[in-house]
Amino acid sequence: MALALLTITNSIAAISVTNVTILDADQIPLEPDSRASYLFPKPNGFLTGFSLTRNSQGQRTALMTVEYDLHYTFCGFRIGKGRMLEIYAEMVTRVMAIIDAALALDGLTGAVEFDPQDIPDFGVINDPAGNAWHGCEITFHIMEFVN
Amino acid sequence: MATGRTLGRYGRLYLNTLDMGSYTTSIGPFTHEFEVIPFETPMVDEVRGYMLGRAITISPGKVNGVLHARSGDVPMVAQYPASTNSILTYAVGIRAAPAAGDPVFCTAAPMLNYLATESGGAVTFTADFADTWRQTYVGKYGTPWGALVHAYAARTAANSSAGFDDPLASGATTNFGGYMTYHTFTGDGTATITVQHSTTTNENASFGDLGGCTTGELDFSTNRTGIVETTTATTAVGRYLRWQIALNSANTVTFVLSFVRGLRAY
Repeated sequence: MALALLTITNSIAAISVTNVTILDADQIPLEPDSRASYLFPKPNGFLTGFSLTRNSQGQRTALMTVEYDLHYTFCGFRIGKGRMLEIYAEMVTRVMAIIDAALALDGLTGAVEFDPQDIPDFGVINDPAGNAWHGCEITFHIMEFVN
Repeated sequence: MATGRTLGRYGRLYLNTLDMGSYTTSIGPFTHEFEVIPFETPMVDEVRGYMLGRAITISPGKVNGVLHARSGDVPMVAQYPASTNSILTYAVGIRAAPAAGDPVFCTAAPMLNYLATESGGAVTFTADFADTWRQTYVGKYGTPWGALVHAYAARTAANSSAGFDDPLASGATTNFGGYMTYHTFTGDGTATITVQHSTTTNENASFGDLGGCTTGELDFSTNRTGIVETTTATTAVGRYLRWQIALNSANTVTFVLSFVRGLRAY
């Protein structure tokens, strides 16, 4: 059995959150549309904390448990004239909506465990083109059973 | 019924008439050990032989948990005396809440001790269970591992659905009997809960009562628990199992039902 990372990113993209568009690993925008809010895989440092534990004897067919963290960037509101701190509360609301949606899941296709683990950066976030947004980084912890 | 590995958070503990799932933090190690008898071995033999004895040690081990703030809830655990057996079922859900066909560890064992401790604002408890067991079951069936027949749910009508193919049967009828455990949590009248089996197909029409494995007519307005064996230790048990309930004055009964299949004569 292969790792299901792309299945997992696909499953995360399928989570429904009001006013937030969640993107898959093959949909990362260089410069997101400033009229919407996006959550997408963080291009620089997407996957960290990879660990593999063997649970049985064997080579390729051994039972293994793999854990890692996936980092997502949330671009809530593009910072600009008329979009300074007056939209901060709505940005917070949308971040909490993402966390709530993740917590409400009974399971995530591809993963044995899926938990929002951390919000290491909250405030001004840059999109891949370097534009400043009100947003945050969200870390999801993943556990997979291999074989 | 799924297969494969799982995580501890999908386990559910039922102790007598308590659903301990939300209060148990750990349980184990689920001892199931056979006595080992060494053969007399000459000095020149390069290997030494052993055989399994009749003495079997079975115990759920230690239960650790946290007490509910509501009085009269989980603290009732302490009221089970060491002089009587507690009926314990631990259902192992496979990457989901336990469902029919999932593995269960069932036993009737006295609680040896119970210790509640204040721990950082919460009150936690530890309870050890004995490694002895009702000798009738040890002698006849020799195993605490079986299949969940009915997961925790309320029933308001008889069962006309298919059951499941018990993986412990390995696709064939077994002829070594077995026993069921049951726990009820709410109810409002009299009813009879039964394990049914089928030796041919997993269809409603094929199922019939499994000899002996019934609660009998009980008033479930009082929560009940018990362990009941098949008519004999050689009762034939079909590969397909399901739950059944005959409602008399009851309109609803919430229960958990399991069956442990004997796999060899002891």
